Amino acid sequence: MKAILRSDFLNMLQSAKTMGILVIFFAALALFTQNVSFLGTFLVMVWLIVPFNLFSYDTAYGWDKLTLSLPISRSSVILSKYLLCAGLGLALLVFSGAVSVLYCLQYPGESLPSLFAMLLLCTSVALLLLAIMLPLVVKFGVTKGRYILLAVVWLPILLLFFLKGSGTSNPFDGLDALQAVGRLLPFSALLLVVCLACYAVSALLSIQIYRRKEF
Amino acid sequence: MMENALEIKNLCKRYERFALDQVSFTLPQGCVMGFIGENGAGKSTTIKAVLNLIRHDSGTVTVLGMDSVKHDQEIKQLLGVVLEDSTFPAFYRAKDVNAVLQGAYPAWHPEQFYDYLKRFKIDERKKISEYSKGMRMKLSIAAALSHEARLLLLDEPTSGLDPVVRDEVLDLFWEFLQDENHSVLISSHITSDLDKIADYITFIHEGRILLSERRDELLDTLSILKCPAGALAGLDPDAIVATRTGAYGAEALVRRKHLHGNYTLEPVNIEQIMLFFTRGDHK
Repeated sequence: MKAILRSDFLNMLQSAKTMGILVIFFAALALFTQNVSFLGTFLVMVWLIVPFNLFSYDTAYGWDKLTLSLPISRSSVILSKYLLCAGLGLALLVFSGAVSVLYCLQYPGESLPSLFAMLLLCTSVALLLLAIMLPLVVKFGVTKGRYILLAVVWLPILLLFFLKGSGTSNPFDGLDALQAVGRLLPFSALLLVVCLACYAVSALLSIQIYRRKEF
Repeated sequence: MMENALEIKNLCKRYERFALDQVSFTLPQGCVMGFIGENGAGKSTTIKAVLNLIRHDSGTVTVLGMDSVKHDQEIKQLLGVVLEDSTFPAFYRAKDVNAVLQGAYPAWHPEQFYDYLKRFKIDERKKISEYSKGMRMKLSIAAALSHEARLLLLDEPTSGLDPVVRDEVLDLFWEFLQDENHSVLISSHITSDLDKIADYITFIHEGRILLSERRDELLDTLSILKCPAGALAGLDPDAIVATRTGAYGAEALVRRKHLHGNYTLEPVNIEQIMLFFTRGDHK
Protein backbone atom coordinates (compact mmCIF):
# COMPACT_ATOMS: atom_id res chain seq x y z
CA MET A 1 0.00 0.00 0.00
CA LYS A 2 2.89 2.37 0.82
CA ALA A 3 4.30 1.99 -2.68
CA ILE A 4 1.10 2.79 -4.52
CA LEU A 5 0.26 5.68 -2.18
CA ARG A 6 3.69 7.16 -2.89
CA SER A 7 3.22 6.63 -6.60
CA ASP A 8 -0.23 8.22 -6.69
CA PHE A 9 0.95 11.10 -4.50
CA LEU A 10 3.80 11.77 -6.94
CA ASN A 11 1.27 11.68 -9.78
CA MET A 12 -0.99 14.09 -7.96
CA LEU A 13 1.92 16.49 -7.42
CA GLN A 14 2.18 16.88 -11.19
CA SER A 15 -0.94 18.96 -11.27
CA ALA A 16 -0.52 20.37 -7.75
CA LYS A 17 1.16 23.58 -8.85
CA THR A 18 -1.53 24.46 -11.37
CA MET A 19 -4.33 23.47 -8.99
CA GLY A 20 -2.69 25.40 -6.18
CA ILE A 21 -2.50 28.57 -8.26
CA LEU A 22 -6.14 28.22 -9.30
CA VAL A 23 -7.30 27.60 -5.74
CA ILE A 24 -5.43 30.61 -4.38
CA PHE A 25 -6.64 32.78 -7.25
CA PHE A 26 -10.29 31.91 -6.70
CA ALA A 27 -9.95 32.29 -2.94
CA ALA A 28 -8.50 35.78 -3.42
CA LEU A 29 -11.25 36.57 -5.95
CA ALA A 30 -13.90 35.42 -3.48
CA LEU A 31 -12.52 37.67 -0.76
CA PHE A 32 -12.08 40.74 -2.90
CA THR A 33 -15.43 40.48 -4.73
CA GLN A 34 -17.24 39.81 -1.42
CA ASN A 35 -18.71 36.60 -2.80
CA VAL A 36 -17.58 33.26 -1.38
CA SER A 37 -20.66 31.35 -2.41
CA PHE A 38 -19.00 30.02 -5.58
CA LEU A 39 -16.03 28.62 -3.58
CA GLY A 40 -17.96 25.46 -2.92
CA THR A 41 -18.69 24.95 -6.63
CA PHE A 42 -15.05 25.52 -7.43
CA LEU A 43 -14.06 23.01 -4.77
CA VAL A 44 -16.26 20.40 -6.52
CA MET A 45 -14.74 21.17 -9.93
CA VAL A 46 -11.11 20.84 -8.78
CA TRP A 47 -11.84 17.74 -6.78
CA LEU A 48 -13.51 15.94 -9.69
CA ILE A 49 -10.55 16.49 -12.03
CA VAL A 50 -7.94 14.86 -9.80
CA PRO A 51 -8.98 11.19 -10.11
CA PHE A 52 -8.94 11.53 -13.90
CA ASN A 53 -5.35 12.67 -13.71
CA LEU A 54 -4.44 9.75 -11.46
CA PHE A 55 -5.96 7.15 -13.77
CA SER A 56 -4.77 8.78 -16.97
CA TYR A 57 -1.13 8.94 -15.80
CA ASP A 58 -1.32 5.23 -15.00
CA THR A 59 -2.60 4.35 -18.46
CA ALA A 60 -0.40 6.78 -20.39
CA TYR A 61 2.87 5.07 -19.48
CA GLY A 62 1.60 1.53 -19.04
CA TRP A 63 2.37 2.14 -15.38
CA ASP A 64 -0.84 0.33 -14.41
CA LYS A 65 0.51 -2.91 -15.92
CA LEU A 66 3.93 -2.49 -14.35
CA THR A 67 2.34 -1.74 -10.97
CA LEU A 68 0.49 -5.04 -11.07
CA SER A 69 3.74 -6.89 -11.79
CA LEU A 70 4.98 -5.61 -8.43
CA PRO A 71 3.84 -7.14 -5.13
CA ILE A 72 0.98 -4.66 -4.94
CA SER A 73 -2.57 -5.95 -4.66
CA ARG A 74 -5.31 -4.72 -6.97
CA SER A 75 -7.37 -3.55 -4.01
CA SER A 76 -4.44 -1.39 -2.85
CA VAL A 77 -4.29 0.27 -6.27
CA ILE A 78 -7.92 1.34 -5.99
CA LEU A 79 -7.92 2.15 -2.27
CA SER A 80 -4.92 4.40 -2.74
CA LYS A 81 -6.76 6.54 -5.27
CA TYR A 82 -9.87 6.74 -3.14
CA LEU A 83 -7.87 7.67 -0.04
CA LEU A 84 -5.86 10.34 -1.84
CA CYS A 85 -8.97 11.82 -3.43
CA ALA A 86 -10.66 11.91 -0.04
CA GLY A 87 -7.55 13.50 1.46
CA LEU A 88 -7.50 16.13 -1.24
CA GLY A 89 -11.18 16.85 -0.64
CA LEU A 90 -10.50 17.29 3.06
CA ALA A 91 -7.64 19.68 2.29
CA LEU A 92 -9.84 21.71 -0.07
CA LEU A 93 -12.60 21.78 2.52
CA VAL A 94 -10.27 22.98 5.26
CA PHE A 95 -8.83 25.62 2.94
CA SER A 96 -12.27 26.82 1.86
CA GLY A 97 -13.34 26.85 5.49
CA ALA A 98 -10.35 29.03 6.36
CA VAL A 99 -11.21 31.38 3.49
CA SER A 100 -14.81 31.56 4.77
CA VAL A 101 -13.57 32.45 8.26
CA LEU A 102 -11.38 35.19 6.79
CA TYR A 103 -14.35 36.42 4.79
CA CYS A 104 -16.59 36.59 7.83
CA LEU A 105 -13.90 38.43 9.78
CA GLN A 106 -13.64 40.90 6.93
CA TYR A 107 -17.42 41.25 6.51
CA PRO A 108 -18.99 40.67 9.95
CA GLY A 109 -22.57 40.65 8.61
CA GLU A 110 -22.10 37.26 6.92
CA SER A 111 -23.20 34.02 8.55
CA LEU A 112 -20.30 31.61 9.09
CA PRO A 113 -22.52 28.59 9.89
CA SER A 114 -24.37 29.18 6.64
CA LEU A 115 -21.12 29.28 4.67
CA PHE A 116 -19.88 26.11 6.39
CA ALA A 117 -23.20 24.43 5.64
CA MET A 118 -22.84 25.30 1.94
CA LEU A 119 -19.26 23.98 1.90
CA LEU A 120 -20.38 20.73 3.48
CA LEU A 121 -23.20 20.51 0.96
CA CYS A 122 -20.77 21.00 -1.92
CA THR A 123 -18.41 18.42 -0.40
CA SER A 124 -21.31 15.99 -0.21
CA VAL A 125 -22.20 16.62 -3.85
CA ALA A 126 -18.58 16.04 -4.88
CA LEU A 127 -18.39 12.82 -2.86
CA LEU A 128 -21.59 11.58 -4.42
CA LEU A 129 -20.44 12.41 -7.93
CA LEU A 130 -17.11 10.67 -7.29
CA ALA A 131 -18.93 7.69 -5.83
CA ILE A 132 -20.93 7.36 -9.05
CA MET A 133 -18.15 8.24 -11.44
CA LEU A 134 -15.11 6.35 -10.13
CA PRO A 135 -16.41 2.81 -10.60
CA LEU A 136 -17.39 3.75 -14.15
CA VAL A 137 -13.92 5.16 -14.82
CA VAL A 138 -12.36 1.97 -13.45
CA LYS A 139 -14.64 -0.11 -15.67
CA PHE A 140 -14.56 1.91 -18.90
CA GLY A 141 -11.32 3.88 -18.68
CA VAL A 142 -10.47 7.57 -18.49
CA THR A 143 -11.51 8.62 -22.01
CA LYS A 144 -15.03 7.26 -21.67
CA GLY A 145 -14.99 8.34 -18.03
CA ARG A 146 -14.80 12.00 -19.03
CA TYR A 147 -18.05 11.63 -20.99
CA ILE A 148 -19.55 9.81 -18.04
CA LEU A 149 -18.60 12.77 -15.85
CA LEU A 150 -20.37 15.12 -18.22
CA ALA A 151 -23.46 12.91 -18.19
CA VAL A 152 -23.46 12.53 -14.41
CA VAL A 153 -23.19 16.28 -13.89
CA TRP A 154 -25.29 17.63 -16.73
CA LEU A 155 -28.10 15.09 -17.22
CA PRO A 156 -29.84 15.99 -13.95
CA ILE A 157 -29.48 19.69 -14.80
CA LEU A 158 -30.90 19.15 -18.30
CA LEU A 159 -33.71 17.05 -16.89
CA LEU A 160 -34.64 19.84 -14.52
CA PHE A 161 -34.69 22.36 -17.37
CA PHE A 162 -36.98 20.11 -19.40
CA LEU A 163 -39.27 19.61 -16.46
CA LYS A 164 -39.34 23.34 -15.92
CA GLY A 165 -40.30 23.88 -19.54
CA SER A 166 -42.97 21.17 -19.55
CA GLY A 167 -45.26 23.11 -17.22
CA THR A 168 -45.01 20.72 -14.31
CA SER A 169 -44.37 22.13 -10.87
CA ASN A 170 -41.23 24.20 -10.88
CA PRO A 171 -38.40 21.91 -9.78
CA PHE A 172 -36.24 24.93 -9.05
CA ASP A 173 -38.62 25.66 -6.20
CA GLY A 174 -37.36 22.39 -4.81
CA LEU A 175 -33.77 23.51 -5.32
CA ASP A 176 -34.45 26.81 -3.53
CA ALA A 177 -35.91 24.86 -0.67
CA LEU A 178 -32.90 22.60 -0.65
CA GLN A 179 -30.61 25.62 -0.56
CA ALA A 180 -32.53 27.02 2.36
CA VAL A 181 -32.36 23.69 4.12
CA GLY A 182 -28.72 23.47 3.10
CA ARG A 183 -27.98 26.45 5.25
CA LEU A 184 -28.72 24.29 8.21
CA LEU A 185 -25.36 22.99 9.42
CA PRO A 186 -26.67 19.79 11.00
CA PHE A 187 -28.47 18.80 7.81
CA SER A 188 -25.32 19.34 5.75
CA ALA A 189 -23.25 17.39 8.24
CA LEU A 190 -25.68 14.48 8.09
CA LEU A 191 -25.70 14.59 4.30
CA LEU A 192 -21.89 14.49 4.36
CA VAL A 193 -21.94 11.31 6.45
CA VAL A 194 -24.39 9.68 4.03
CA CYS A 195 -22.27 10.65 1.03
CA LEU A 196 -19.13 9.37 2.77
CA ALA A 197 -20.89 6.05 3.17
CA CYS A 198 -21.72 6.09 -0.56
CA TYR A 199 -18.07 6.87 -1.28
CA ALA A 200 -16.99 3.86 0.80
CA VAL A 201 -19.44 1.57 -1.01
CA SER A 202 -18.14 2.96 -4.30
CA ALA A 203 -14.59 2.00 -3.27
CA LEU A 204 -15.68 -1.57 -2.61
CA LEU A 205 -17.43 -1.70 -5.97
CA SER A 206 -14.38 -0.30 -7.78
CA ILE A 207 -12.17 -2.91 -6.12
CA GLN A 208 -14.45 -5.69 -7.38
CA ILE A 209 -14.40 -4.24 -10.89
CA TYR A 210 -10.61 -3.81 -10.87
CA ARG A 211 -10.06 -7.35 -9.60
CA ARG A 212 -11.69 -8.69 -12.75
CA LYS A 213 -10.05 -6.23 -15.14
CA GLU A 214 -7.61 -7.54 -17.73
CA PHE A 215 -4.68 -5.69 -19.24
CA MET B 1 15.14 -31.87 -6.05
CA MET B 2 15.61 -28.48 -7.64
CA GLU B 3 12.25 -26.93 -8.38
CA ASN B 4 11.53 -25.50 -11.78
CA ALA B 5 11.54 -21.74 -12.00
CA LEU B 6 8.47 -21.71 -14.20
CA GLU B 7 6.04 -24.43 -15.24
CA ILE B 8 3.19 -23.71 -17.60
CA LYS B 9 0.80 -26.56 -18.33
CA ASN B 10 -1.98 -26.51 -20.92
CA LEU B 11 -2.52 -22.78 -20.63
CA CYS B 12 -5.51 -21.62 -22.63
CA LYS B 13 -6.83 -18.11 -23.12
CA ARG B 14 -9.33 -17.19 -25.78
CA TYR B 15 -9.94 -13.78 -27.33
CA GLU B 16 -12.19 -12.93 -30.22
CA ARG B 17 -9.52 -13.27 -32.90
CA PHE B 18 -6.69 -15.01 -31.06
CA ALA B 19 -6.18 -17.79 -28.57
CA LEU B 20 -3.43 -19.34 -26.53
CA ASP B 21 -3.94 -23.03 -27.15
CA GLN B 22 -2.58 -25.59 -24.67
CA VAL B 23 0.63 -23.66 -24.07
CA SER B 24 3.03 -25.79 -22.06
CA PHE B 25 6.71 -25.39 -21.28
CA THR B 26 9.07 -25.59 -18.33
CA LEU B 27 11.99 -23.39 -17.37
CA PRO B 28 14.38 -25.28 -15.10
CA GLN B 29 15.97 -23.35 -12.26
CA GLY B 30 19.30 -21.77 -13.05
CA CYS B 31 18.61 -21.56 -16.78
CA VAL B 32 17.78 -18.98 -19.42
CA MET B 33 14.91 -19.59 -21.76
CA GLY B 34 14.47 -17.71 -24.99
CA PHE B 35 10.77 -17.38 -25.68
CA ILE B 36 10.54 -16.60 -29.36
CA GLY B 37 7.85 -16.02 -31.91
CA GLU B 38 6.85 -13.52 -34.52
CA ASN B 39 4.84 -10.40 -33.64
CA GLY B 40 1.41 -11.38 -32.39
CA ALA B 41 2.38 -15.00 -31.74
CA GLY B 42 1.34 -14.90 -28.08
CA LYS B 43 4.57 -14.17 -26.20
CA SER B 44 3.32 -11.13 -24.32
CA THR B 45 -0.05 -12.77 -23.71
CA THR B 46 1.68 -15.72 -22.09
CA ILE B 47 3.75 -13.43 -19.89
CA LYS B 48 0.63 -11.50 -18.91
CA ALA B 49 -0.98 -14.78 -17.89
CA VAL B 50 2.02 -15.58 -15.68
CA LEU B 51 1.73 -12.13 -14.07
CA ASN B 52 -2.05 -12.41 -13.64
CA LEU B 53 -2.57 -9.32 -15.78
CA ILE B 54 -5.09 -11.52 -17.59
CA ARG B 55 -7.11 -14.48 -16.34
CA HIS B 56 -6.42 -17.70 -18.14
CA ASP B 57 -9.37 -19.88 -19.14
CA SER B 58 -7.69 -23.13 -18.16
CA GLY B 59 -4.31 -24.64 -17.37
CA THR B 60 -1.86 -24.00 -14.57
CA VAL B 61 1.04 -21.66 -14.05
CA THR B 62 3.53 -22.51 -11.33
CA VAL B 63 6.26 -20.01 -10.51
CA LEU B 64 9.11 -21.01 -8.20
CA GLY B 65 7.01 -23.91 -6.99
CA MET B 66 3.94 -21.77 -6.16
CA ASP B 67 0.62 -21.50 -7.94
CA SER B 68 0.63 -18.16 -9.72
CA VAL B 69 -2.94 -17.25 -8.76
CA LYS B 70 -3.00 -18.43 -5.14
CA HIS B 71 0.43 -17.02 -4.26
CA ASP B 72 0.42 -13.92 -6.45
CA GLN B 73 1.96 -11.51 -3.94
CA GLU B 74 4.65 -13.90 -2.63
CA ILE B 75 5.71 -14.73 -6.18
CA LYS B 76 5.94 -11.08 -7.25
CA GLN B 77 8.34 -10.33 -4.43
CA LEU B 78 10.72 -12.78 -6.12
CA LEU B 79 10.08 -11.67 -9.70
CA GLY B 80 11.99 -9.05 -11.61
CA VAL B 81 9.84 -7.87 -14.48
CA VAL B 82 10.60 -5.76 -17.53
CA LEU B 83 7.68 -5.16 -19.86
CA GLU B 84 8.10 -3.84 -23.38
CA ASP B 85 5.29 -1.30 -23.37
CA SER B 86 5.23 -0.34 -19.71
CA THR B 87 7.58 1.93 -17.90
CA PHE B 88 7.82 4.26 -14.96
CA PRO B 89 5.97 7.58 -15.38
CA ALA B 90 7.99 10.01 -17.47
CA PHE B 91 8.09 12.69 -14.75
CA TYR B 92 9.80 10.35 -12.25
CA ARG B 93 13.43 10.70 -11.40
CA ALA B 94 15.59 7.83 -10.19
CA LYS B 95 14.94 8.78 -6.57
CA ASP B 96 11.19 8.52 -7.18
CA VAL B 97 11.61 5.03 -8.64
CA ASN B 98 13.67 4.12 -5.59
CA ALA B 99 11.06 5.57 -3.19
CA VAL B 100 8.16 3.73 -4.83
CA LEU B 101 9.91 0.37 -5.18
CA GLN B 102 11.28 0.58 -1.65
CA GLY B 103 7.67 0.60 -0.51
CA ALA B 104 6.80 -2.34 -2.77
CA TYR B 105 9.61 -4.84 -2.16
CA PRO B 106 10.57 -5.97 1.35
CA ALA B 107 14.03 -6.93 0.04
CA TRP B 108 14.68 -3.72 -1.91
CA HIS B 109 18.33 -2.63 -1.83
CA PRO B 110 18.66 1.09 -2.62
CA GLU B 111 22.46 0.94 -2.61
CA GLN B 112 22.38 -1.82 -5.23
CA PHE B 113 19.92 0.18 -7.36
CA TYR B 114 22.07 3.31 -7.26
CA ASP B 115 25.20 1.23 -7.97
CA TYR B 116 23.56 -0.02 -11.15
CA LEU B 117 22.61 3.52 -12.13
CA LYS B 118 26.19 4.65 -11.61
CA ARG B 119 27.43 1.71 -13.63
CA PHE B 120 25.00 2.53 -16.46
CA LYS B 121 25.96 6.20 -16.25
CA ILE B 122 22.34 7.20 -15.70
CA ASP B 123 22.01 10.75 -14.38
CA GLU B 124 19.82 10.49 -11.28
CA ARG B 125 18.85 14.15 -11.48
CA LYS B 126 17.21 13.78 -14.89
CA LYS B 127 13.56 12.95 -15.39
CA ILE B 128 12.81 9.70 -17.18
CA SER B 129 11.31 11.74 -20.03
CA GLU B 130 14.85 12.97 -20.74
CA TYR B 131 16.30 9.47 -20.97
CA SER B 132 17.05 7.70 -24.22
CA LYS B 133 15.29 4.39 -24.88
CA GLY B 134 18.42 2.49 -23.86
CA MET B 135 18.63 4.36 -20.58
CA ARG B 136 14.99 3.67 -19.77
CA MET B 137 15.50 -0.01 -20.42
CA LYS B 138 18.63 -0.06 -18.23
CA LEU B 139 16.68 1.71 -15.49
CA SER B 140 13.96 -0.96 -15.70
CA ILE B 141 16.57 -3.70 -15.55
CA ALA B 142 18.33 -2.03 -12.62
CA ALA B 143 14.99 -1.98 -10.80
CA ALA B 144 14.36 -5.64 -11.65
CA LEU B 145 17.77 -6.65 -10.28
CA SER B 146 17.71 -4.71 -7.00
CA HIS B 147 15.35 -6.71 -4.81
CA GLU B 148 16.77 -10.24 -4.63
CA ALA B 149 14.65 -11.50 -7.49
CA ARG B 150 15.01 -15.16 -8.34
CA LEU B 151 13.28 -15.11 -11.69
CA LEU B 152 13.50 -12.40 -14.32
CA LEU B 153 10.60 -12.12 -16.76
CA LEU B 154 11.73 -9.94 -19.62
CA ASP B 155 9.41 -9.00 -22.43
CA GLU B 156 11.47 -7.70 -25.35
CA PRO B 157 14.18 -6.20 -23.12
CA THR B 158 16.53 -5.43 -26.01
CA SER B 159 14.00 -4.30 -28.58
CA GLY B 160 14.97 -0.96 -30.13
CA LEU B 161 18.40 -0.92 -28.46
CA ASP B 162 21.66 -0.48 -30.32
CA PRO B 163 24.17 -3.38 -30.34
CA VAL B 164 26.40 -1.79 -27.69
CA VAL B 165 23.57 -1.39 -25.19
CA ARG B 166 22.23 -4.84 -26.02
CA ASP B 167 25.63 -6.30 -25.23
CA GLU B 168 25.74 -4.44 -21.89
CA VAL B 169 22.28 -5.70 -21.02
CA LEU B 170 23.18 -9.30 -21.85
CA ASP B 171 26.26 -9.00 -19.62
CA LEU B 172 23.98 -8.03 -16.77
CA PHE B 173 21.92 -11.14 -17.27
CA TRP B 174 25.07 -13.25 -17.23
CA GLU B 175 25.99 -11.76 -13.88
CA PHE B 176 22.51 -12.43 -12.56
CA LEU B 177 22.81 -16.05 -13.59
CA GLN B 178 26.02 -16.64 -11.62
CA ASP B 179 23.68 -17.59 -8.79
CA GLU B 180 22.34 -21.05 -9.68
CA ASN B 181 19.02 -20.22 -8.00
CA HIS B 182 18.39 -17.49 -10.54
CA SER B 183 16.56 -18.01 -13.81
CA VAL B 184 15.58 -15.85 -16.75
CA LEU B 185 12.76 -15.96 -19.28
CA ILE B 186 13.45 -13.63 -22.19
CA SER B 187 10.71 -13.07 -24.67
CA SER B 188 12.24 -11.72 -27.84
CA HIS B 189 12.23 -11.81 -31.58
CA ILE B 190 15.89 -10.72 -31.69
CA THR B 191 17.23 -14.22 -31.97
CA SER B 192 20.88 -13.21 -32.19
CA ASP B 193 20.73 -12.19 -28.51
CA LEU B 194 19.31 -15.58 -27.61
CA ASP B 195 22.08 -17.31 -29.54
CA LYS B 196 24.48 -15.78 -27.02
CA ILE B 197 22.66 -16.49 -23.81
CA ALA B 198 19.78 -18.97 -23.97
CA ASP B 199 19.94 -22.52 -22.61
CA TYR B 200 16.43 -23.35 -23.78
CA ILE B 201 14.35 -22.17 -26.69
CA THR B 202 10.57 -22.19 -26.72
CA PHE B 203 8.92 -21.19 -29.94
CA ILE B 204 5.33 -20.01 -30.03
CA HIS B 205 3.41 -19.50 -33.25
CA GLU B 206 -0.22 -18.40 -33.52
CA GLY B 207 -0.83 -19.19 -29.87
CA ARG B 208 0.66 -22.70 -29.95
CA ILE B 209 4.00 -23.98 -28.75
CA LEU B 210 5.77 -25.58 -31.71
CA LEU B 211 8.93 -26.53 -29.86
CA SER B 212 10.52 -26.23 -26.44
CA GLU B 213 13.97 -27.78 -26.22
CA ARG B 214 17.54 -27.23 -25.11
CA ARG B 215 19.18 -24.81 -27.53
CA ASP B 216 22.37 -26.80 -28.03
CA GLU B 217 20.42 -30.02 -28.67
CA LEU B 218 18.22 -28.18 -31.14
CA LEU B 219 21.16 -26.78 -33.05
CA ASP B 220 23.04 -30.08 -32.89
CA THR B 221 20.20 -32.21 -34.23
CA LEU B 222 18.77 -29.90 -36.88
CA SER B 223 20.34 -28.78 -40.13
CA ILE B 224 19.32 -27.15 -43.39
CA LEU B 225 19.24 -29.15 -46.58
CA LYS B 226 19.06 -27.31 -49.88
CA CYS B 227 17.85 -29.28 -52.87
CA PRO B 228 15.65 -29.10 -55.95
CA ALA B 229 11.95 -28.93 -55.07
CA GLY B 230 11.30 -32.37 -56.55
CA ALA B 231 13.93 -33.98 -54.33
CA LEU B 232 11.94 -33.30 -51.15
CA ALA B 233 9.60 -36.18 -51.90
CA GLY B 234 12.54 -38.59 -51.78
CA LEU B 235 13.48 -37.72 -48.22
CA ASP B 236 12.50 -39.77 -45.19
CA PRO B 237 9.34 -38.04 -43.84
CA ASP B 238 10.65 -38.52 -40.29
CA ALA B 239 13.64 -36.39 -41.16
CA ILE B 240 11.68 -33.36 -42.33
CA VAL B 241 10.67 -30.81 -39.74
CA ALA B 242 9.70 -28.00 -42.14
CA THR B 243 10.21 -27.03 -45.76
CA ARG B 244 10.36 -23.86 -47.82
CA THR B 245 10.05 -23.80 -51.55
CA GLY B 246 11.22 -20.87 -53.60
CA ALA B 247 11.85 -19.92 -57.21
CA TYR B 248 15.34 -21.43 -57.19
CA GLY B 249 14.73 -24.63 -55.28
CA ALA B 250 13.70 -25.87 -51.87
CA GLU B 251 15.08 -25.85 -48.37
CA ALA B 252 14.25 -28.34 -45.68
CA LEU B 253 14.83 -28.17 -41.97
CA VAL B 254 15.86 -31.73 -41.23
CA ARG B 255 16.70 -33.97 -38.31
CA ARG B 256 20.17 -35.32 -39.11
CA LYS B 257 19.73 -38.67 -37.39
CA HIS B 258 16.82 -39.59 -39.70
CA LEU B 259 18.65 -38.59 -42.83
CA HIS B 260 20.36 -41.44 -44.56
CA GLY B 261 22.73 -40.88 -47.45
CA ASN B 262 25.18 -38.25 -48.51
CA TYR B 263 23.72 -34.82 -48.20
CA THR B 264 25.35 -31.47 -47.91
CA LEU B 265 23.93 -29.96 -44.78
CA GLU B 266 24.29 -26.47 -43.41
CA PRO B 267 24.21 -25.52 -39.75
CA VAL B 268 21.11 -23.75 -38.56
CA ASN B 269 20.53 -20.92 -36.12
CA ILE B 270 17.49 -19.90 -34.12
CA GLU B 271 16.37 -17.28 -36.59
CA GLN B 272 16.34 -19.78 -39.42
CA ILE B 273 14.33 -22.25 -37.35
CA MET B 274 11.84 -19.49 -36.65
CA LEU B 275 11.57 -18.61 -40.34
CA PHE B 276 11.01 -22.20 -41.30
CA PHE B 277 8.16 -22.50 -38.85
CA THR B 278 6.53 -19.20 -39.66
CA ARG B 279 7.03 -18.97 -43.41
CA GLY B 280 7.47 -22.58 -44.41
CA ASP B 281 5.36 -25.69 -44.27
CA HIS B 282 5.85 -27.59 -41.07
CA LYS B 283 4.42 -30.75 -39.57
